Amino acid sequence: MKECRRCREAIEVALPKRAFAAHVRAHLSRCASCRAFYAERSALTALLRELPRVEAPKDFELRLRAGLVARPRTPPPRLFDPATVLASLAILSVATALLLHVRWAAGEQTVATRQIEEQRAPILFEDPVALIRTTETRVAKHKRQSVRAKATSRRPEIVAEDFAVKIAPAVETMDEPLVAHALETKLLNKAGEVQIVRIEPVSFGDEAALKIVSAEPRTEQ
Amino acid sequence: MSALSSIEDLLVAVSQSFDAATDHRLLEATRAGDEAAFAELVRRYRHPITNYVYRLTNDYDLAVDIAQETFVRVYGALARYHTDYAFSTYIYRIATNLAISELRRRKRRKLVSLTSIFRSAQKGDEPLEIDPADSRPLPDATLIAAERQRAVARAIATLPEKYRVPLILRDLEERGYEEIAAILRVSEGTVKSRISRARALLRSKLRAHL
Repeated sequence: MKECRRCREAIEVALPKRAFAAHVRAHLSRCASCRAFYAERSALTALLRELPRVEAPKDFELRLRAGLVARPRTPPPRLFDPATVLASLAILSVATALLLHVRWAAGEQTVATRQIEEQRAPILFEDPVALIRTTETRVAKHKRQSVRAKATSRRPEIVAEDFAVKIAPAVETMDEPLVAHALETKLLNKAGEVQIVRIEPVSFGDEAALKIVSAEPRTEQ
Repeated sequence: MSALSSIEDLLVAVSQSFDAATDHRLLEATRAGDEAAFAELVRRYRHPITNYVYRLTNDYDLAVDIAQETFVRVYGALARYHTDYAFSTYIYRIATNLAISELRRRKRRKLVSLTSIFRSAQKGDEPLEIDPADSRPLPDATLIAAERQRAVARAIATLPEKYRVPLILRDLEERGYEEIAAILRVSEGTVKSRISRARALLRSKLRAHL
């Protein structure tokens, strides 16, 4: 049976040509079933080859020429084409301006952070989303949402294993994993007070960051 | 493989590599602005591409339109063409994609069009599976052959697209498995299994003619 399967595979691969390896021919000479398979497949491919080949019409090139005139070829971009150089310069200017703006924003936040540190004031994020974008804020990791939770569309259980808000030094990392079922989670500030920060998951994938909706903390009573 | 097969394969390989090399030279010349070089490429591929698309769509006018569009696309994308693989692979891939897109568009349209029910199987989008018995007088051998060819064409056209395309490329266009895999962007193993399945389906459809 294994030999028959190999023989049939070889026939399928070789067709529409009919030149087979010696072991295939040897098998065909002693196996009636495979001979029948070969005869059937040969008849089928012969039937397909009976189909007449159609040709393109005589005015094919003429029509094509008209089509090409209607839609001319886009020339390849030249390296020192004035338009290309101008476009590159424009892109470069925009990129530089963006970079400078981001750095300026980061600098502003650093000043704000220092002030918080000095005053040991409660954490106050004026624009939490902007803080996240500066990449200085690492909020939390959470586990993949369980299949059951997905099925029931419940809010996923958020497990913060590495909770740290680096932009606000007044808050320390908690050593133990912190479980939060709600959109609020607890943080310790340097004074040892428990504070509550509202968070919202952005994505339910592994390692997804959490988006701070309102990072304005309040001290737990 | 037998000696005969090896020689045949070698000749085919030599011929294909020669064609590929000259195709690439023609493309380079076209890029440099030589219109005659592009005309030569068109002369080389217009009939094979038209025939290929015709077998895919079973509609001659549509096949010619798609073949035209294929060359327009090739010409428009000359700057982006890389000589990593044969030009024939590139042009067959474009033609395949255009034909499949058109067939799918027509199929979607057909789903909401009641008038398609009354269209002729020859001229319609995809031929209907219904093949009523012919009550005309017994025709001569030529007519029998013509009828058989129509039946084969109809049977091919009713194959699912994923089986039809590799079958036509292999059994009608005689493309190698490696090239078919490159045209369809699937593995050679997938090509082999699809062709095998296509032949089995076709055999069941054409039992009366085998």
